[in-house]
Amino acid sequence: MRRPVLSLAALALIGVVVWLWGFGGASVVSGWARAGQAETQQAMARLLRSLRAGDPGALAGLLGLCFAYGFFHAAGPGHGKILIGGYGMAARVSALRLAGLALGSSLAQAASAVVLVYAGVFFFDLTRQNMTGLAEDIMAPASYGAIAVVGGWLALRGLRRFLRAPRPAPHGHDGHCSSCGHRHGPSPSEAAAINNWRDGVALVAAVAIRPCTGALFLLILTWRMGLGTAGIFGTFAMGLGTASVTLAVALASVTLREGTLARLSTSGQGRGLARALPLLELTAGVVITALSLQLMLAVL
Amino acid sequence: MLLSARARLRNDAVMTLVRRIALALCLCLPVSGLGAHPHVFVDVALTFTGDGAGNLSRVKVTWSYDDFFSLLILSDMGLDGDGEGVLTEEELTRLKGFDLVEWPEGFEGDLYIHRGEEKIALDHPVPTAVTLENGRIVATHERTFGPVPGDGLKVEAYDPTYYVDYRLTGSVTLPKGCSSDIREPDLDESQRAFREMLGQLGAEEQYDPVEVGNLFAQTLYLSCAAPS
Repeated sequence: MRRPVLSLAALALIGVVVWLWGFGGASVVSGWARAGQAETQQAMARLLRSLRAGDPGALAGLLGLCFAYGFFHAAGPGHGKILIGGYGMAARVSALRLAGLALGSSLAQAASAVVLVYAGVFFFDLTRQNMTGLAEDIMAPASYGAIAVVGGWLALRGLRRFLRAPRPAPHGHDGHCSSCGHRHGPSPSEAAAINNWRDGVALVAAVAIRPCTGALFLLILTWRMGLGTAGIFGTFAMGLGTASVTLAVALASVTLREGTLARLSTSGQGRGLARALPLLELTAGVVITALSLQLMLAVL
Repeated sequence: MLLSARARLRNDAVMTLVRRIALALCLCLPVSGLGAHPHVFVDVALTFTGDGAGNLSRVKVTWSYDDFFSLLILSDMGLDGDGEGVLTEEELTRLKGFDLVEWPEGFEGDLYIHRGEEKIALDHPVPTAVTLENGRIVATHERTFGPVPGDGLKVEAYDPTYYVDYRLTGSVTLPKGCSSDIREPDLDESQRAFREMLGQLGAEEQYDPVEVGNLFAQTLYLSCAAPS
């Protein structure tokens, strides 16, 4: 009885998406996310001072706050959830694998923040403005551009598969359709195999290029205060916080996709599936490209 | 202002094309603050003074920076090394005006005053004081203008790039006879206005980056009764 449950969940999610899209839900969410981020940022400063003063409980508190910061920051616009969510909608990738991608990309993003700051500090003698300037002016557009490219690639691939997919022409099983070969769609394993490890690498890389400015601030501050290790742990805690949002989006997108496909496959023995999958891929690809270009426009 | 990161790429054929395509796509999408993510949070207090006859000519702007950013600036400049939260006279002198040292092209001091459609020109800010209160840097500067009649002025404090999130904390001091009213931004209206803005931009040859800061800012309206 999985199908009805999936479809119901998918419908609920569509309701959420419509609210976000058409009824100002997105501004409500980003307003809430921004307020949350401001508060966590303030609390982080207080904890950093306590940590510097040698307060033993401060580290755990700081890590918790960093997680919360990552959560609020990811709940706002940007930060890769578009890509992971879109990919989850488009490709027949399992929830587990997508979750892995969500986690991997967030942690890779944290790692790139650490690399940027410590390379800047030890090798290139960069100032704070240099580093944030690098992240905001070069790496951010690069990341959005890379995400747009991945989105475009998904769209193109979807388009090609859509055009190549067999039309669901009506034919009886007692008819003489020698060219049909009785294939009504790709088998699930075939569909999954098409999306290989290269997709995963591209996704993670596109998101990871751009480190979060909040993480950069934290790393620079803690390094100067002699609390570098705490800063690095804090950054990865932020990454986990970001990952929790991306994970939720990823799982939502898989539910939405499977719900939609379940509906299609119950009608007419999966005839619609051959065209539905590529169509999903094409749509998701277009939306990803559009959103990331929008983001890129804003920062250029 | 605070950062060197405000250089804008100028037009070239490829970018114009990319932007045109992106604009076309953007018109279908919802607005949610785009990629502009504030990292600095500032509370703004304003004190207006004038000639006492209903005209205003000077505004004192107080920017209270958030705890985290204050910590960052202090460590940037090597101040308050002992973390006591107290700055010496010498340190205060060094800190004064830190937020006005960099003045990138196109920067307007993040304060906008309008009288109807007309934008009132504000003179370059002069830093007047700086203190450290509860870990937050509080910096004041003054700007002269006009003089213009205070009645009907519209004041907004925002960063067009929305890197800094300014909030009017309600601390607005005015000469006798004037009053103020702070209005929150209408987010739905902002969305509609933004879409219109994008639509208009598509027709222009000269493309300027879309500036979202003012769509999400509060507005302060002044009204001054004429002296009897």
